[in-house]
Amino acid sequence: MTDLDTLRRALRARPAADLGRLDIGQIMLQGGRVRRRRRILAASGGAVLAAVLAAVVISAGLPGRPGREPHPVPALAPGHSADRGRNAPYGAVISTGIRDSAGELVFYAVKVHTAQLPQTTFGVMGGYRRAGKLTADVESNEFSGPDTAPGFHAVQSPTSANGHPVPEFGYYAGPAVKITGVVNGQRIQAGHARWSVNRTIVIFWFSPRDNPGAHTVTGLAAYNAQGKLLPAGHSSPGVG
Amino acid sequence: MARGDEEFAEFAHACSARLLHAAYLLTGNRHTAEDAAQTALVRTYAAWSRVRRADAFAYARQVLVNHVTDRWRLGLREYATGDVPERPGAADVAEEVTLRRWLVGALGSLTARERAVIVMRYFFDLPEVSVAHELHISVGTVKSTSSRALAKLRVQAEPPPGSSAGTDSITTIGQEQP
Repeated sequence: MTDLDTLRRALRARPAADLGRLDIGQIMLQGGRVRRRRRILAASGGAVLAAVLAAVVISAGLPGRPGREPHPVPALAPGHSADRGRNAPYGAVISTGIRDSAGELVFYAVKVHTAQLPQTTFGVMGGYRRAGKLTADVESNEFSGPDTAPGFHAVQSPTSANGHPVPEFGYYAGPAVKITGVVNGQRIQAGHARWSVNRTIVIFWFSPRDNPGAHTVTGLAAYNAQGKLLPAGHSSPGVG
Repeated sequence: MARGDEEFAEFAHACSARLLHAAYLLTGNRHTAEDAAQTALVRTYAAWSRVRRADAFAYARQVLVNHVTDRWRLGLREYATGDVPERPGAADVAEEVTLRRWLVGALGSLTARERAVIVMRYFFDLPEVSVAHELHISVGTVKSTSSRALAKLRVQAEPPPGSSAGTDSITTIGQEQP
């Protein structure tokens, strides 16, 4: 046996750490989303590269007992140094209060104009604000049907882009005052804010504090001020 | 489930443990490894129609390694330690445990590229030309990086002249050579 043989043996020895198992179903769900985005981007010829990502609808679930009750976050005026091009904020920039080394996580709407999506006029961008400047990291918009039809739209799983983590987010069209979802068997509540351009649109996100593993939150449910469950809209779980 | 999905599920079940193991060697962190291996399989599934008839595992492996090294380039890595830990005496603990401990510390002394080259060469047993192709570097860079990494690990690339196979080579790993 040579030293290299020993190195090989060490590399191949069962790690001391319990590496667990991967969730193949979750992998296929996320991979399907990536595949759909690529198709849409290919169909748009790359001309609207950052404008055509979409997620649609997650099935509704029953209300749970969230441990925290996030309050609606007021939408702030657009930062004066925000991008002025394709990713320029469309309406107010929403401050989440979630910070990391990249700055504060923010969400804002952006205009979408593409021939392939005639019923989509806007999308939601997740980015960071630091020293008055905005980044445009992950954009998601409706790609199937009207973008303001009642229900969830453009639900984007937790991801990272440009080195910045972006938690699960999306928007709800309707009078939602509470939005919840399920992760690791626990129902958690999303932070949310109304879009300044159209007050019937509620932009929401699940804080990394409630979902530290950045797992996909499923079983999305929206409630009105009377606590009534609102329509989920499309009913295909995980589509988008 | 569509036929392609069934094929992918079978593929993923078969190779996920190996990818996860490789990811752990590349990152040294269980959670980061899980994230990296999952990302590799997500992208493989997204490209499944294209790669299923080719070498799907090679595709997943390449995505994994480049994903990890990209993260390191973005500054999301744990920084390498300066020194390779000394291997405790073989009599102290079981050999496998000794090897594990040495390996964790030793890999931590390498740069991202060195670590990737070592894992691809000696975990996956890839030839230098394949490593070069998958890491988008030259064969010469693979050779020099591998040589430098082995020197840091204090592993002899070739058996010393006059040595015979079957000797207790563990004593030459993790310790200064005379």
